[in-house]
Amino acid sequence: MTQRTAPRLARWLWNRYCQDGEKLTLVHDLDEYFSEISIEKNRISASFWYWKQVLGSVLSFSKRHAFFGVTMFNNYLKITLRNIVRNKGYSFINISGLAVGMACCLLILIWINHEVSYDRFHEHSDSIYRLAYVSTQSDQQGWGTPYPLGPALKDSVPEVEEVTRLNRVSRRLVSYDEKRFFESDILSADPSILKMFSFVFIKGDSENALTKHSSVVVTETVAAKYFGTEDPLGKMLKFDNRSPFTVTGVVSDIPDNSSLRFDFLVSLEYLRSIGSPTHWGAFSYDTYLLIKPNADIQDVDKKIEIVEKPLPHKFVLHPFNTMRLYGINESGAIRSISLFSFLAFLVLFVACVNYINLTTARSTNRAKEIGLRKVMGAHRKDIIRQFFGESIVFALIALCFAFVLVILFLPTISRIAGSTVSFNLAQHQFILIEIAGILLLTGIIAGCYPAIFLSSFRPVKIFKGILYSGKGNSFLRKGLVVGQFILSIALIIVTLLINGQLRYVSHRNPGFKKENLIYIRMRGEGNLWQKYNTFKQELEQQQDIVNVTASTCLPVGGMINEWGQMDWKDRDPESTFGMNHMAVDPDFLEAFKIELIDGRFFSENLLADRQNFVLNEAAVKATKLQSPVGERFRLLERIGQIIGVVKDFHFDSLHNEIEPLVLQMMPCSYWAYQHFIFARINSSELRKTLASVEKVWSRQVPEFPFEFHFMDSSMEALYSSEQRLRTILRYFTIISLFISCLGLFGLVSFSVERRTKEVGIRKVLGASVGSLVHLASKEYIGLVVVSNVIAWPLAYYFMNKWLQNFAYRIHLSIWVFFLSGLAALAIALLTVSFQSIKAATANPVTSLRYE
Amino acid sequence: MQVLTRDEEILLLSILRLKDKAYSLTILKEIKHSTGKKPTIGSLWVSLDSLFKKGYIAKKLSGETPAKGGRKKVFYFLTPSGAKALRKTREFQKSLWRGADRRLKKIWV
Repeated sequence: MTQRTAPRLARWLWNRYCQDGEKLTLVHDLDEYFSEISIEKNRISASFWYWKQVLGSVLSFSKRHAFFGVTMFNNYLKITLRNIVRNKGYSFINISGLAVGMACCLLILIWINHEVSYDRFHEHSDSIYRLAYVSTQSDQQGWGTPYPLGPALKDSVPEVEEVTRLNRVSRRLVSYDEKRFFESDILSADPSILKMFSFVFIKGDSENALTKHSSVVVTETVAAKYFGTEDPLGKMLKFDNRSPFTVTGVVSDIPDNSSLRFDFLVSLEYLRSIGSPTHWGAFSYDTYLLIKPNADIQDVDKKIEIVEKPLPHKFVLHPFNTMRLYGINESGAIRSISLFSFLAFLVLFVACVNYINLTTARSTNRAKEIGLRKVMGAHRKDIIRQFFGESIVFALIALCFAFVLVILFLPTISRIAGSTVSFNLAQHQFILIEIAGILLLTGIIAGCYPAIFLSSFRPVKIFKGILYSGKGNSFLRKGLVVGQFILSIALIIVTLLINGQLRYVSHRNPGFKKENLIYIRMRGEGNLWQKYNTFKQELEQQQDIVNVTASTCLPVGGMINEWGQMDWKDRDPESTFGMNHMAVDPDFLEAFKIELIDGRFFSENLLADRQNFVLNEAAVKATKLQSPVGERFRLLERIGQIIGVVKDFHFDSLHNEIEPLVLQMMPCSYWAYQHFIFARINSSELRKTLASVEKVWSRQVPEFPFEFHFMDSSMEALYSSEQRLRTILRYFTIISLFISCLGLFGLVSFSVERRTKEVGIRKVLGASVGSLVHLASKEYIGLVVVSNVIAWPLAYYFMNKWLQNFAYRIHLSIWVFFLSGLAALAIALLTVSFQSIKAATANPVTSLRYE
Repeated sequence: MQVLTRDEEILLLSILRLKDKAYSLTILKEIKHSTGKKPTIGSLWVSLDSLFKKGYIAKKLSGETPAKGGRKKVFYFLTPSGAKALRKTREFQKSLWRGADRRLKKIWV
């Protein structure tokens, strides 16, 4: 009797391998022998024997399978490669399309990897959190936190291990001996920053580098810039020619994927010593917390909430290592990442569509092969496998070209992304898996439908010559072409509209004359400001300088807004609202060419004007004063009269409405003010004029280097994210249109090739070239028209939404849509007619002799 | 018709010797007995299959021998072409060895 005491796992394995009919008897055979041996010897040696048998047998079974598989694989590969070589044109269309699509995906992937890797290099990056405030009255959120908050949390929340507050120091002149540069990457932080974050020290030690108030840590590049080959440690750097700092440490350059960057790192004491506010009301510091590794974050959040503080705001933790991605309210990189990866995926899809269309359209050419394979005993799954393999081979070849494209376009992506994105295999361990993923994805998307379609052919019908007429198939093909063109047309519309909006933005009259206006940034510190009057006088003597003026704010990108610190007659005491305010010099109106609509502007000679105000129209509207001129007005501690009203002008980006603005006269003491000197210059001799300004500057303030900006280019810079969007969309539009047209070209050339005889006969019977071209291209042109109909509402929807971001925007004119559609149509027509004209003008003698 | 390989020869001879009792287990034992080799059941099956495909052996699914618990087995038989192949191999060997025995004896070992 058979005793079933054979090792269970081995028997199960053996069973799996002996599924079909006759092999099933082997299971019992082995059982029988097993029991014999276990009776003869013992169970252990029998089990041992059994295992040996099973493993050995499995090996020899699979050897046979593998051998068979390899043979077939070789055959498939050979057929695929032959087909690629034989149909060079179609292969080129497929491979180039796929290569471009894959290159897009790869570039985006590299970029995503870069973004995801942000801030992860710090040893404790998982346990670092950043505090953000949430206003309890409104939905407002932000990173700013008050100075005393950090230490308060460290004292009362036990999970908080370490706290670092930091703040940027505005531009400083840094000097060492003769070397002087303006530096803006100065960070001021608690000494604990060096414990929390892993900046690599080359010189000096992280323990004591920031303990002294006058110590500074610099990066490698900065050290080389100032000290060259000298040892930087112990050297003295001066900020604004006054405060001396001793270099106590040099860190290696901060990696590109760090959101915490600095060139100079000084102690927080420095900011305090120059009067940065340290009370609870000033939300000007970033607070980072190091939380104990296994603490529950929600728990910590709750504890932070109950810490006593004289503020109505809530403070919440945001994980540091995903800060770059999500920001506050998903405002981080994740939005553009998801948009661009979506677009890259669409482009890849468009390329796959080409493959699907060309393969199914040309299925008749492969029909005999498929029929023969089936007759010789191929199962449907074998055919499916073959065609999947084929699409993967295509994808693989395309991938090689994609790599070349990636290397060519990586600098472009770096420029668009705004940081150095590198293609470094060592840095991203997963990139190979991801590339393999893209390869498989492409192969599967492209190969899926052709594989199923081609494998469904019936051999009998094929050899009888009754091929699938392919009604459903050609419907799908048309649908896919329509899909391709929807994307292309929508992208054209979107790009044109964004372009239009950006042009509108830069051409819109801001209410003042922005051309030929330069400005020099000065700071309240130092004695620069005291020299303003002499500087101004000297400048005005230069012949090419028309006006010189000054203000306390740059009328670009918003101003200082004061909440509720103002009063006027009949003010509704309940209402709290803010007004922007800045102090200007009496020549401001003249220099900026701003229109005055009521009253008068400040005058140099009237002492009383130092207490008076000028409002803009929006402010008048906000105050609800009927005749504002002559009314009393209070701003902060100044009380005076409203003496004039100016026409509204833009001092913020066009995203926002023009807000109420109060102008007062310089000088003015307000801690947050900076100073700007503006000069309107003659454009004819720009270089000479600028040189003369510099000469005056260096005579007046020799201790500071001369640096200036153009007003109009600073205003352009407000729209950098839109400009970036425009650049990327432009690329995507061109790529998607290119690939779609390639596909169309392929389809048309195939259908023309198939109808060679028909065209020949028609021609013999007297058809004109025009009617033949019409015959060959009408179908596809119809498709493009249909795509237009679908693309327009889509583009309209998205652009309407996008334009809502701007308070001042262009109208969505039908012409843009119409033109985009027309352009797509023209390009498609060009593509199609290239082939159809060739066919129509061919000599009918040759075409009838064809085949 | 080609001359059999040594493995095929061994297999066919075992089947021949086992008469109507040739199934995987008995073949396995026979091979072990006559050559000392211990093939696995799987590799045996693979070789039997290829012999079957070449038409040297036939299969029969049967044999409810009461002693074996009445289960099904695959029995193998030599086909005429198998027998022919064996015979041919034998003749081939004979011709190979013609006169060799005598000379071999003369070589001093």
